[in-house]
Amino acid sequence: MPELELERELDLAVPDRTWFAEVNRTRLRVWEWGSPDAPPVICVHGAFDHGRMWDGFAPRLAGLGFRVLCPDLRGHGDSGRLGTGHMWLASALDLAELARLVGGGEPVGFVGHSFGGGQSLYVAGVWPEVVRWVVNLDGLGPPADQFEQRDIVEAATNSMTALARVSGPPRVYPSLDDMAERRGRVNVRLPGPWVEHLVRHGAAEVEGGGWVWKSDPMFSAGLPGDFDLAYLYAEFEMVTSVPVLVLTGSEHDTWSEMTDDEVADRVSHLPTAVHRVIDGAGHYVHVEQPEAVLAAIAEFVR
Amino acid sequence: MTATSVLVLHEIGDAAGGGPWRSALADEGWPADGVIAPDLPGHAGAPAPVGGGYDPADAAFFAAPLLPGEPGVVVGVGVNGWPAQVFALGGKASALVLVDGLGGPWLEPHQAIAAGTEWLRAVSADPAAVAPAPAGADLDPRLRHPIPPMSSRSHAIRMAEAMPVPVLVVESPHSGLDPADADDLASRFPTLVGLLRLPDRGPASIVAAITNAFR
Repeated sequence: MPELELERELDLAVPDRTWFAEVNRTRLRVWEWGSPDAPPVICVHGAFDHGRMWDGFAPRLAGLGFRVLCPDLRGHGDSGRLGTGHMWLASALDLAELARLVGGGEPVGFVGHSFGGGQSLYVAGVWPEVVRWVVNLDGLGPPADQFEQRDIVEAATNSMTALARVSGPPRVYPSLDDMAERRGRVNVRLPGPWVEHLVRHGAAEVEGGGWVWKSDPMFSAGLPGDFDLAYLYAEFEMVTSVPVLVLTGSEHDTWSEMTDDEVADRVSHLPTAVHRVIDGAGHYVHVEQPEAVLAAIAEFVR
Repeated sequence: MTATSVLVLHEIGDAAGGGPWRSALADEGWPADGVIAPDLPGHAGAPAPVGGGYDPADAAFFAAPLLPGEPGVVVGVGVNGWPAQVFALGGKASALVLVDGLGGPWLEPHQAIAAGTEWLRAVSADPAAVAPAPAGADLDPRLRHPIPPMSSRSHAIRMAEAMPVPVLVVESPHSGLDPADADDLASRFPTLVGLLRLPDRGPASIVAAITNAFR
């Protein structure tokens, strides 16, 4: 489907502005909506996504009277590349620097989805002085079974395989349709046109024909370490002064695989959090039910 | 065993980089094409890493493409003991040498998270550490802030107990562990060749021990 037609069907608005922020030794592409003089809110996308993921939600959020900034995280979209797959700390520092840059000495709001929700909480824990509030959209970390210890030799061997893979040339897809088909198999609840939109802005055409993901393959490589629920909870418990709203969908979905009890347990480790369930939504809460999410945010920041 | 190559991951923050290791290995007669002791990014004039971030895993990402086809000796110094152990566990080493590289100091999860916070706040408060790295500097200014090490004792034990290749442990006064703890950790390696205590961790005496053990 042609881009304009697609955007019309999804009721999307192209960003009002775009620019590059030079922060923390990297370059972040920032997509922006709303008045430049309004209080800033930074929207942080999830893993393998990009700032254009907010095309449907950001204009609505701007309508509440915010300047909405949606960066491509490092290693994603048009932003700087990764040196290693261990980018959690570096990316958090990027966001803190961006908040300082646009905040003019005042703290800014954060809305984060999935991995971006985790990043937003972490920034609030490390630099509470730069964060006014956090809205976390289904970003409470992976299900507990993903923290289970695997055989360490197997894990190390897999790491070596992944390192070799990301050092090689990226996979080239013959067409955007092929990429959409693959992405659609992962994000099963996302409507087809949304998958197309995410793919269109998440892919780059290569010389000689074909397409590659813009997200840095390095992001998926790492070494087996010791991070588990105890560390996740320790991170959450650092957020002691910044108000947090957690929104999760009522529907089971890829990356929304925790039970209600697991979600409640995670939230209980966020001392300042309130939790709301959005009916009729899966992992992409704000894409599936933008008006309900917007209403919850409006009430939260009032 | 007879190893024909040595990969050295020097300590993070060592402004001399791999140079002293390359010299010491050459002096011990290791063939030039078997010595892989790079200056890691941000050290000894080597360019800072892409994006400027540092993590204890960096050395593995940088050095993985340099690994020889045939596994050889892998040496991890200090913080880089962790990636060196992952190389060995992942089938990329015929022998492992840990120089003050067992891990530690050990921290509980909330202490480790607090250490990460402290490090990030220190980096972000230092304009030189956030600004682009100066080209050709002996040491990237960001490395004035020592990166938090692998600090989980249970993880260190898990790696040690699974180690499939011979291991030489070298401990110096720079170690983050007290001697009894280092003894205990070293004894967890089923393939321990020996634990050597040296008054310093200059490469010459360590390379002599490596040569004696593995060549």
